[in-house]
Amino acid sequence: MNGKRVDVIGGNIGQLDIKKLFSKDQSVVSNLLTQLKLATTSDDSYEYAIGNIRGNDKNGYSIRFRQVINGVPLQDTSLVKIDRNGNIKYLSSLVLNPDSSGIKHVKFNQTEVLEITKMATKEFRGNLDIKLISLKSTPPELTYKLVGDDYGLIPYWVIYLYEIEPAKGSAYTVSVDAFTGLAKVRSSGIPVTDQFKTEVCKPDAGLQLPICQDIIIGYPFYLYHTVVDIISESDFGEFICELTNLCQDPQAKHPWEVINNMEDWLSENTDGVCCDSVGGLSGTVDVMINSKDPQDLGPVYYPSQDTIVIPHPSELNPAKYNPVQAQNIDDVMVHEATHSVIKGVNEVLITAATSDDALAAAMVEGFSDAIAVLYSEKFNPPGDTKVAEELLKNPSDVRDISEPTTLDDFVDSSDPGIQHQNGKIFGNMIYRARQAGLSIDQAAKATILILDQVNRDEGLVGDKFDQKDIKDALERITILDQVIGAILEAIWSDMNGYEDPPAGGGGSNPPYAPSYVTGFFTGCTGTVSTYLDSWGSSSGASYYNMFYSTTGGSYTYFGTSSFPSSTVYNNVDGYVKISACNSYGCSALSNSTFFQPHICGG
Amino acid sequence: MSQLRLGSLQLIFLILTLTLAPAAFSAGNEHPAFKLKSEQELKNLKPISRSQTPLSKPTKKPSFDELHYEEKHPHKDAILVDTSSIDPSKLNPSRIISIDPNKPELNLPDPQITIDGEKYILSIVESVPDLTQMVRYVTAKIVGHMGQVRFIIDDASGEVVGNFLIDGMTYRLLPRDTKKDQQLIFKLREEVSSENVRSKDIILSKTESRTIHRLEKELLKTELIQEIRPKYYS
Repeated sequence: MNGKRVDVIGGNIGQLDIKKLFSKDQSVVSNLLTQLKLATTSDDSYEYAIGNIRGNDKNGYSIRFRQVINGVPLQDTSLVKIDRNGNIKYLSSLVLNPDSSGIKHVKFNQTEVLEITKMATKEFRGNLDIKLISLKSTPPELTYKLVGDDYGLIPYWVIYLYEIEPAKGSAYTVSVDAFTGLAKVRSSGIPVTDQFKTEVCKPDAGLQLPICQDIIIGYPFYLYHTVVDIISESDFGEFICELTNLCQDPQAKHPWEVINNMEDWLSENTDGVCCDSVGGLSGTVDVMINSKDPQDLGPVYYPSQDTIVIPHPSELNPAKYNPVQAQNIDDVMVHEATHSVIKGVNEVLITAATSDDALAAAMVEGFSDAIAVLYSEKFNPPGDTKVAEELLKNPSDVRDISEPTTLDDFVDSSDPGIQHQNGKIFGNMIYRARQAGLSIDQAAKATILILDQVNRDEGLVGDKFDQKDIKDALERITILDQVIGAILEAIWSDMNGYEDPPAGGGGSNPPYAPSYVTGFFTGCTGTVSTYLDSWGSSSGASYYNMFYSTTGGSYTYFGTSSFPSSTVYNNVDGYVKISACNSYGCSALSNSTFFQPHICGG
Repeated sequence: MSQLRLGSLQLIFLILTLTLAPAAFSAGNEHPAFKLKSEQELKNLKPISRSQTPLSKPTKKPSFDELHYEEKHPHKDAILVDTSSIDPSKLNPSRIISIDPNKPELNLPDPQITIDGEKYILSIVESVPDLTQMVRYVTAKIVGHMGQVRFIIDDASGEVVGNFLIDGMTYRLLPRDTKKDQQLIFKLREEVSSENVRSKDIILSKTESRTIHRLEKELLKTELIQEIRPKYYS
């Protein structure tokens, strides 16, 4: 094992200096993990980089950080949560040994990788004549990706390329294995167009903003990016058009009302997980409207650029969509903006969702639908349970989170459209949570907590999200918020989600029998061998009865233990079985284990 | 979605039920630190001892003269104060029942160890297995003193590592590299000043001494988790 993730909730974990955290002083994290090195396996020499800091003085802060190995950050993040005084409430640290042999070296530098990327993309397009460029605003990123259950690390470059000739082309995300040079191209990113017109302006709150007009932005690209940079957020959280004649399409106002509502709502209800970072959700996500739709995607969110793109009604495929200004449809906007929320709280999840991880994609889509439905219930009561019914032409494409689904309905596929079908599972999970009694705000918190807590490791599959990862997240949520966690765990069980092997019964019933019995020899005491018997603890058990047999049949009671272990001696061959008990009775006998005495001389 | 709303009384009942219900955390909290007696439980125990037996075999205990320099000085914060040759089979609870109900239970004397000229009687309060590591933890109170000791024992190899807290002082017992049935007992220079201060995470064994290093790290990790007292650890 090259390292591990350690999750600790509650107790006296330690304290962090908030001022140093806000200055992104990595020594704060490094010192903490070194202080806890026996558990975290960190060391003085290990390096970390602090990322997003979210929260406020009322609810405390959550801080994302990554280990940096050989100057390259891990793709998977760690998380620490503190209260207003810096006391640590939660720590989830992923620490790997930088000297491990399981780390592949970076053999290709940025320049080499750019050449590889362009060649691969031209092959992907089947056209060697296209012209591809990269942009300063989306520079190449190099991260280590975890592979397998033993935490091997492979360096990956991720490059964003834009096709500029013959124009109206596409953008591409290319991931390159920095050890082997193998490239994988995906058509992705914001469609290149000369028609998108609007960026962010929020003409309210008493500020006198310049009059903005539509502007048609064309090539060259640097002009577009210059324009984007100029439209900025003021110290008061308002968006300012700094150049005259710049863009303010009136159509752009509504998305920002929705996004600002989301920001306030989720900030108040998610214990600082979302969206209190500096600038909040509206400070990070961009919205582009009236764009082209060359790939027939409809409204779409691009994680790498953190941008929501809404095609012009005339650009929408009439076979699939109604010709509507989709930015004015609340649940469409909330669905897409929730993708940006997910990027903020769990970037690994959103990245996995765009990288052939079907369960990650289902979570992203389903929980985004759930937030969209909760938003409609909160801000446009009574709301409804459907998403995008005004946009989608075919009623069968409309997602309804009240539609009963279970984890059995999951299809492990990355084919187009499957992620929304799979997403119904997670939309329905939140619907069930509302039915079980969670308020709108609690259901929103439940959704965000799952997205925040789910980690892609030590589950059933090493480098993809799996059901055990979600189950583990639910267990941690039960510690953070017992009411929400308990309801989610019950729903998860109803939906046939993965369960760890049964540990016990309890409640108002006798416990289950221990799942195993074992033991080991602890030496000779005089002429007899002593053993430490041990068995699986059974939840709800208050004591255990121990039984013995010389033949494997007809067991006789020989003692009681209040713990799932007991030191015993024997000088004859014997089988041992255990029964777990509480005030409602005792379980059946467990499976047996066989003890053969050692020869002890005395 | 008004059909989703429950009556407020129904909701309060549900929340109360869930709040009062014991939570089962099957994936987390499996570490043996959660199975050991808490500091407070240990503090409340007031053991007495009726009979004692030497924990160390006097004839096998190494003399200071036969130790190498590196054995005597493994760490700047540790001073070698004694040696021992512990018999791990004596690190068992004093009362042991037989799996054959026709046989009487054994009542064993309390083990006694000498450290730096002082004799300490150990009243063993628990023996807890860690099946993932195939070791057991044995905790003992020090009779007549403010203190306790926790051992980690690998019965298959006979290796024992111990961490003693006696009257504010910390002692560490480690097997010798060359003869693992013999141990060295070090006093750590820094005193444990208060309950709120983490025990010093000083690892004395060398990483090259793989089995000993593993046991020492596991023991100290377990004590660290006990100090943190988390609601969840995985």
